[in-house]
Amino acid sequence: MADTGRSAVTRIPGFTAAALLTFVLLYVPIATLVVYSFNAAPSMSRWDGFSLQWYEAALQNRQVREVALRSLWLALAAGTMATLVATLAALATVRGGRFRGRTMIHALINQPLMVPEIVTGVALMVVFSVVRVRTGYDGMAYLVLAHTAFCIPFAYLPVRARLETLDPTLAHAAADLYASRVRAFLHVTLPLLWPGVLAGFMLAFVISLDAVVITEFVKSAGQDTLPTWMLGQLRRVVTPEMNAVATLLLGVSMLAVTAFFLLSRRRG
Amino acid sequence: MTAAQRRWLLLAPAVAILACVAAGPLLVMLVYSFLEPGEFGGVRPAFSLDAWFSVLFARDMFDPEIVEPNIAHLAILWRSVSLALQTTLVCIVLGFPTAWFIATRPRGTRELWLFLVTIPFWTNLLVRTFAIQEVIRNRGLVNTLLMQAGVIDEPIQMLYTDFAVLVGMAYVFLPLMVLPLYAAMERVDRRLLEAARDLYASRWRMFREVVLPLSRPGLVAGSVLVFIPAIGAWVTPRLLGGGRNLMLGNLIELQFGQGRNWPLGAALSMTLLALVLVALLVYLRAVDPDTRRRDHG
Amino acid sequence: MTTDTPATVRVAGLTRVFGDGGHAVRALDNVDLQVKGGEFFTLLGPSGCGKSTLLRLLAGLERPTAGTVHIDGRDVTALGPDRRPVNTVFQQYALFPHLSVADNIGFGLRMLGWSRSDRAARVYEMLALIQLEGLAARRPDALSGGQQQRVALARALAPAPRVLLLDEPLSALDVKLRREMQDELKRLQRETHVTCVFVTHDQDEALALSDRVAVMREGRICQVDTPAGLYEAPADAAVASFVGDASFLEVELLDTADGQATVRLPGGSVVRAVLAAGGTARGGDRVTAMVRPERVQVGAPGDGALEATVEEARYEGGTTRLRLCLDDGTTLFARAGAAPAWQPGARVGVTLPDGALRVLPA
Ligand SMILES: Nc1ncnc2c1ncn2[C@@H]1O[C@H](COP(=O)(O)OP(=O)(O)OP(=O)(O)O)[C@@H](O)[C@H]1O
Ligand SMILES: [Mg+2]
Repeated sequence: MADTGRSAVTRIPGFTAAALLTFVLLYVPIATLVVYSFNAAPSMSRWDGFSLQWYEAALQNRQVREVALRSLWLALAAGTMATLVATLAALATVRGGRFRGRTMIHALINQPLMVPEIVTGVALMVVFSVVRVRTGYDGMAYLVLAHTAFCIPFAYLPVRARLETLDPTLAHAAADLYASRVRAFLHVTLPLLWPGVLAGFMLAFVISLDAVVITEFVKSAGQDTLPTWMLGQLRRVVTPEMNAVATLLLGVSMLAVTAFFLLSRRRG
Repeated sequence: MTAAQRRWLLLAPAVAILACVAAGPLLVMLVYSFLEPGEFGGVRPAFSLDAWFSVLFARDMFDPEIVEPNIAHLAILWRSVSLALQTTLVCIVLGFPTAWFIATRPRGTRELWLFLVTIPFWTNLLVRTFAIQEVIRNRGLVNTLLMQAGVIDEPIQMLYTDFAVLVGMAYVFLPLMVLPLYAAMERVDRRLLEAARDLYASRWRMFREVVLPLSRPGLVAGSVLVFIPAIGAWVTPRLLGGGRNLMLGNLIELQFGQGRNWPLGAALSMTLLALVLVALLVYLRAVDPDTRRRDHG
Repeated sequence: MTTDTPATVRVAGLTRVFGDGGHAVRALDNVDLQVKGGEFFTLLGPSGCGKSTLLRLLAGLERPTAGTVHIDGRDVTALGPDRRPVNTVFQQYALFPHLSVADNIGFGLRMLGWSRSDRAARVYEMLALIQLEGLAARRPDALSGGQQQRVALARALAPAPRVLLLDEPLSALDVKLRREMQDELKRLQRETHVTCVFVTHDQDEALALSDRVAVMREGRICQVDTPAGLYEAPADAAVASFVGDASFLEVELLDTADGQATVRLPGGSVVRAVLAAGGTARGGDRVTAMVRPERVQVGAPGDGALEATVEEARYEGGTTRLRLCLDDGTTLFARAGAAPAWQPGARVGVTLPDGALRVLPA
């Protein structure tokens, strides 16, 4: 539906104004955040000129550095595991037609999408508390595992979408040319699937970086991630340092999402 | 190795992780909701329906025979459902024109507008909630601007109210409404609009009689997609609603913390899950073509 | 249809330019047109010539860059499609998928505020007219192409428009169904007396259905005439080649006198030809003349003014369509009896009787 002139049939009174207003509403809060992260004054009530002092403060804050690093490597670990596991699962569900239990598998994979995070969070807390007592282990594995499970459906989506557009006869053709099953996969399927896998990883990475509820309930003392640290800070009086931290996090998310879009738009 | 064996081998890691870290814990919660609370948290392995009972009812303090509705829980349940519905409504009001606007852009620029809608969505939830705080706090953007303009003398208290929760959730979940709506609207044939106009429909009638019914699948999908996370929201009411404006999610958390009533927390979790399932069923009924045909016939 | 009946549709100086700057497309260029009441009027022309644009300007779905549209003497140029007493049958029907057949047909009436009972009666009347009484409750996607077509017609006719606009309504149908629907369309128009403006790029369809035809090319109207008039007296080479088969010869104009001309053929022989209006050629000029295939007489070699070779013979049942190559290289189409079995390569003699040739303006 193109042609957007004044007489265009698609014009409905007030809609364009409402839509543009919505875009403004979407971006005003984010823009405020970014702009005031560069404000020399510690308050929103005045603008004292451009300054990077809050960024300096944030980056020199040991705690910020620590939780940010933990968030990053958690997202890397969980994103990688979720993508690996989801790719294998997608290969099993997309190829080879319908099979008994497929609906069950889909329900299982999508469960983290449908169950409210708070429910998953307290359920994990309850179960892990038992495991903690029994094993005495209190490390990061709980968080990695929880984030992996939570990210699987997000990694699964783009991989599956990509796999569905791939022509299965390509792998057959490779097999016909005396490629073993593994070599056919490595040399034919995987390269074609790769953009989907990368997109899945990007998505899983962002989701893990964003996950706050589950993390809050699963973490033990001293395992704060950037979101749970922010959650704690935001209930108190916030310093403009938080603007800088939030803007940096915003930047990372934007980069990942842009990469995701570019990857998922690339055609095979 | 047979094809079936290979398939299950590929599925094994996903199934194992999800069974242990997603489906399993839910079952544990279901079981816990039928047990008695332990004295310092946790549960005692004794069957009891007390937790489920106290989701909605309470016994009189002095005479346990007198059963009355649990006002506090009912109020929170009501607030959760009501806020989730209001959020859905706000998202419809803002999302419908936005989705239509995007769907009627020339082909080349549509993706850009879509991208603009999705960017805030992929931004960290805490960042977005913090941004809303910055805008509506007493010394925030809105109050500062209004006071500088001389409209008000005292800042309006917006943060830590239900209104703030509503604004925050609508802000956070709006893209979930726009995307499915857009997908439905993009498929609407513009010749149908021309036919409606040609048959004496004003632009508004065209909207009501053609655009709205044909966008219905997207509208239903968007509403469910917004309603589900809204009713289970925990972060937004915690940060924007302050201590007094609890939602179901916060009530659940409370039972595992200060409340020390895990079975009740489990029963409340299952209640929340049930509400989500109801929303999903409504959705399935609404998009099922057979049901739809009967509705119109 | 006398000339003093007021025109139902009057278009003056109508222009529509799409885009701007270097990419501007003049889809319609200064078009004047009058359609009389009760007339079946057809816009005929090749793809992209602006037929749909003109129709959409009449419907109000498009706004003109310049010019005016009058319907029943009223200036409707500034009115939207919902305020014009015209209805359109769309190319792919554009039936509302969420409404039943009856609700589709009653849509316009509902928008006009008809009461439920009046609407039901009118819808029933329309269903009877298109002979689909049994399908009132069906959805459009459960109808065949022909049935959808008829519902689209009924939907457009239900509000009793002053003008019915049809944009290639039959192009989505297969050949056999198309014939049937052409008859059906004629019947509906006879019964309802509605003025029709019909768009097609199929010349057979245009000639078979229309009272008058406007031939369009590149946003302009080349000629408006009855089907017979177009065929017998095309205004220029473009019209001649678009309506029916035509061959063109370079001839020398010897003399002209009140609509008649004397010309010398390539072989040297002299015949009388009809002179089309608007030409400025004078005696001695080289001009283009047109001839219809059935006016070309084919005989034994030496048996005519011109000699030619048969290049292709296509048997068409009863007649044979011949493509001939005159000795000077000109291609000439002829329609001959089936009797002698014409073979490619055969030599023939060709006669162009007096009055068969038509001298066209340069
Ligand atoms: N909305 C538009 N924007 C830009 N150019 C347009 C638009 N609509 C039509 N045109 C151009 O105007 C010219 C006339 O188009 P129109 O659709 O009227 O042709 P038509 O005679 O109906 O052709 P067809 O037989 O293929 O339907 C074409 O060159 C077309 O590309
Ligand atoms: Mg056309």
